[in-house]
Amino acid sequence: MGQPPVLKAPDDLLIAQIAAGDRDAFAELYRRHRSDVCRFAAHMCGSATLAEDIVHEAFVAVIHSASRYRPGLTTVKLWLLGIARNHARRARALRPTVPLPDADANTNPAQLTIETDPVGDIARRRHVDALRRAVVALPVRYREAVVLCDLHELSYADAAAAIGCAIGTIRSRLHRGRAMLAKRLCGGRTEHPCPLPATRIFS
Amino acid sequence: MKCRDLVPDLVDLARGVALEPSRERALAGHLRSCPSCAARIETERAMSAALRRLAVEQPESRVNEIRLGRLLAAFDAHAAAPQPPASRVKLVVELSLAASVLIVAGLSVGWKGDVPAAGTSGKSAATRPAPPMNADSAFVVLPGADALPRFEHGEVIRVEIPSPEGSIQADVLVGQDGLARAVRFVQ
Repeated sequence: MGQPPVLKAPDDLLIAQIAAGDRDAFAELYRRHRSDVCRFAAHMCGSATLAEDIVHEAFVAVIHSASRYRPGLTTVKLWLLGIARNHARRARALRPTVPLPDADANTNPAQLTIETDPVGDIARRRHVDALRRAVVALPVRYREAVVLCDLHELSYADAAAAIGCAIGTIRSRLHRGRAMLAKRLCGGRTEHPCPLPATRIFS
Repeated sequence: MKCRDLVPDLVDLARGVALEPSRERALAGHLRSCPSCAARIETERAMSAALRRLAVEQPESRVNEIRLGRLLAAFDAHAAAPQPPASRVKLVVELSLAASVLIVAGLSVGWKGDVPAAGTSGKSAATRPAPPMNADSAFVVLPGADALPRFEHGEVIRVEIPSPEGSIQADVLVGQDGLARAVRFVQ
């Protein structure tokens, strides 16, 4: 006895089945892509609870929009990320943004190097938290680029497709976003290499 | 070549993006002679490593069956809901397509203000920049427009579509990406 066909169906076929009213196909799509959408939403908004809401709204949008999905123009994953991106923007507009981490108080480079903290796990967690806050505090257009290209490891072309902009635009936004992150995490220093939290921890 | 001209390639190299061989050679040569850029690429590599760690550290949330149940209930409700009349949907879709064609046509002549006047094309439709907002009806979001990327600025374009009873005028709201988002009927 084999698995139900829906479990082996490619994404494009699942979408077609959803448009035709197949709830099993919808459940399979949800199970298949929920994690990616949730990770993207969490990185964008910095809140696990809000991310869950965005995932829900994105998949509700799938219910209403499945018939308008066009295979070949994009992939299902990028289509879903694009929908989640729009909902994340709306969700953020209704909530206060996460305050910028204070470079002088909270992310002092001297405090972020492993030599100054004997407990490696605590230091690493602090570094990751500092980076997470810095990402969430980025202006949205740069945050999208960093999240899609560096955290989700999408190509420039795929990230541009998810956002709906030119490849050159996503590339320049990513570079600008990374520069803003480095400046924030380096405590405003401009010389290189700066004592990024990751310099000694992760390399 | 100035350092700032090489920064995009430098960042790409640090991220592991493949560069064209000629650009990679040029960058490698520059890095050997420029301590500032050599230090910069170390910072960028550290940034990439830190971001990879952040990506990995994001907790993996498991499928919440309760939430899935709510979504399936929404799915069932949508499936049970009456669909809009096909003729209305068809009209709106056709209007959207016509507007898109006209936008492309308008862009191809450079928007020099010499867009053919209404009716002069003698074929499917004609367009001109919309006059001041004097239409009575409100804009209606086109099907699927809410799933498109949010537009940052747009333009209202008046279109005319031939019909058995005469032409229909409508204003189409078009985003900066050239995609129609909403429409309102003038006549």
